[in-house]
Amino acid sequence: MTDQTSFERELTDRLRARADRTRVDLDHGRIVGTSPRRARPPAARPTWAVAGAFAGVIALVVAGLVLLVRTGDEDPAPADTFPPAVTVPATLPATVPSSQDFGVLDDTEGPTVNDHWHVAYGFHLCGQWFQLSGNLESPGSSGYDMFMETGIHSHDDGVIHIHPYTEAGAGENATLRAFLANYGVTLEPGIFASPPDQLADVPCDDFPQYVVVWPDALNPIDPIIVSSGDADVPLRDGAAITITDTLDGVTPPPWASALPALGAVDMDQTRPGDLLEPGVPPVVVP
Amino acid sequence: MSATANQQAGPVTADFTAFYRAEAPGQIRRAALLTGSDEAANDVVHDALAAMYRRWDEIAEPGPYLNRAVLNGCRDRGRRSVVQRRLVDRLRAGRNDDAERDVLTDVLGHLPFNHRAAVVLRYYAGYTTEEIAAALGCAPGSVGPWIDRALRRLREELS
Repeated sequence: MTDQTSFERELTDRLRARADRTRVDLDHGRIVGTSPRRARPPAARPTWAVAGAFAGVIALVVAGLVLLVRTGDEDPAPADTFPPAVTVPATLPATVPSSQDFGVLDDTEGPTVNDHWHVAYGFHLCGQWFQLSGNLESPGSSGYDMFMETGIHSHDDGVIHIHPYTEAGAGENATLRAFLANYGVTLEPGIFASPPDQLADVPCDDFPQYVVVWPDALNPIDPIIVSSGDADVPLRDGAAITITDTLDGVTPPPWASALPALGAVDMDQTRPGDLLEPGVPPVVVP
Repeated sequence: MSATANQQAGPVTADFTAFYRAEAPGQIRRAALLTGSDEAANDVVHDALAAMYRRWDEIAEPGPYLNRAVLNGCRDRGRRSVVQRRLVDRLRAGRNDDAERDVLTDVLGHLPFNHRAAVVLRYYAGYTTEEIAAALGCAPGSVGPWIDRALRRLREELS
């Protein structure tokens, strides 16, 4: 800056003069925000762990009351009046298997801040495919601030884009959980929670029981199946991930075969349907 | 801003308010040089600050964070249609542009974003090469060539 030419000095003056004419509106009116993300109310979708715990407590309380009544009653109630609430926990989903073994995914390192990786992903629930909505690279979008830290995002294209800005999104921190969290989605053991504006079109209350990972989206063999509670599955370049309510006929997302093209676009103007021919059946894993 | 939004807002902490008052004017003026529009600059900076407010207590270095967010916002604006932006600007009331502003704004607007940002950060904000590289998320070695090319173009257009 000490060896500026006259043109550079003139340029500085003109830039300052131009900037001084800018109308600064400090009452622009949008620094009101909402509550911090972490203080969001519970999700609109079912939280089975909470429901199960609540039902269990109710069942124990009712059973205890009944036992007390029976103990102090010379004429106990007949068995057919036993409160039905006691049977409720048996109707809840069984515990899904859990695993922290991510197979070949563990054989490679996570991305660095210099990488730009892509993973095809999709939710397969109630027999239909869904994606999270929102281009997190767009300032003002919900999750933009978290995207700014991790660099893990999507563009409404069925692809997880991973170009870490900091260590928060690199190495072992580049996980499916980090991606989902940027969209406000929680997937933990027995818990599936999403904001009202995500996955709103899912027509049933099916719980995503499994995360299925194909290390190579273009050669979908040998899938790695983990319980949905293990959303810490590492993200690896070129993989495909299906978050599903059933393993019956599970496949990679139909757009996974177009991952190279979707990843190359890396903008928000292309959607999976633009690159797939209608009626092409997805690959079914035996 | 709706009344509902106001009612839902949490209390704005004193340190955020101080940060906002200290940083916003300079950021808006700089963003105006980058976007070519006062309105867009106000939008970009307030979007970034609103996002920061939502997680204010988690941001370790607010200054660099805001720099990055505003630059990203300006870059995103630049991807949109220039024609559309100018039409919207013309329809807005209260414009007080003059010929000087139009020439400089137009010339800056024709530079690639990184070239434009490097020039504004160097000659308006007084950043060093390393500071520009950090703000734009690029290697320091990229900054010099960007500025050289931008200066050549600006000399031709402005002289």
